[in-house]
Amino acid sequence: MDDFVVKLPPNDMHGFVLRNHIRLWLADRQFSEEFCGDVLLVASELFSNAVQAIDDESDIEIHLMLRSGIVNIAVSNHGEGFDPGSLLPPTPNQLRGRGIELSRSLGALMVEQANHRTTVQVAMNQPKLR
Amino acid sequence: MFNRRGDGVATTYQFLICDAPQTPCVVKRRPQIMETTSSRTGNVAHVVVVGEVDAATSPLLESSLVEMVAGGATVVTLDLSGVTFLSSSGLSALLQVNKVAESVIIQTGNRLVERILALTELTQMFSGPEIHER
Repeated sequence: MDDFVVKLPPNDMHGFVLRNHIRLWLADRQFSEEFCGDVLLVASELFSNAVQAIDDESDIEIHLMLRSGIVNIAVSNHGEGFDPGSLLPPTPNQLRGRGIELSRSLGALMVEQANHRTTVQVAMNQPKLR
Repeated sequence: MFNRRGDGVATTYQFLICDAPQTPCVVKRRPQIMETTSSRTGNVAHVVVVGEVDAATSPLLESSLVEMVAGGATVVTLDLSGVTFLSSSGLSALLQVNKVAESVIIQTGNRLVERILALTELTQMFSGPEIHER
């Protein structure tokens, strides 16, 4: 199965383009509608998080792959990393900062830093057949 | 690119974007990603949102809803049945409006919207009581 790899400038305006490309990638796979929605949501949240974290114009790389029934979404950039364990769950009235928690609720989240790049990955398990 | 169109009764906001990453923002194959149409009955603003509510479009949605509340609407009902994507930024916009209005009520029926509200445990916050127009 082909992986999905795309590099986009750090601008939220490109989230729409990203989702349209991911929709095409998902259309070739036998996932449930709900799972497709979850993949789009996580990829968008990680992209948006990377846009906020970056302080230059370097591209953000988005990589989706399907291996053994697990969809792995990896978003990497030159931004500074963070410790996902240090994030507190959002309170009901909290206005912002729900993206990472939302992503974590849909898969296993991991943050890696190497060679001055940060990669945030979410592994999403058990896609259901249509 | 933003475009605003008013006809005296309802106001429509459109958020336009190009479909290719490297192209300047011109209307191409899929010209609009979010559109809102609003009307007002007494203190209740009725807003229909169609398209994608994400980090790029949610500021426009938030400002238009806050503007309605500033203009005297105390209750905002949102028809999100035509929303094809809702991100945490979109939720933040709704929470912000919920802070300034008496209540924000989301008319359900969209599984995608219901799912993100359930995941964030915000379903109850936007399922308001029966509406009494003043």
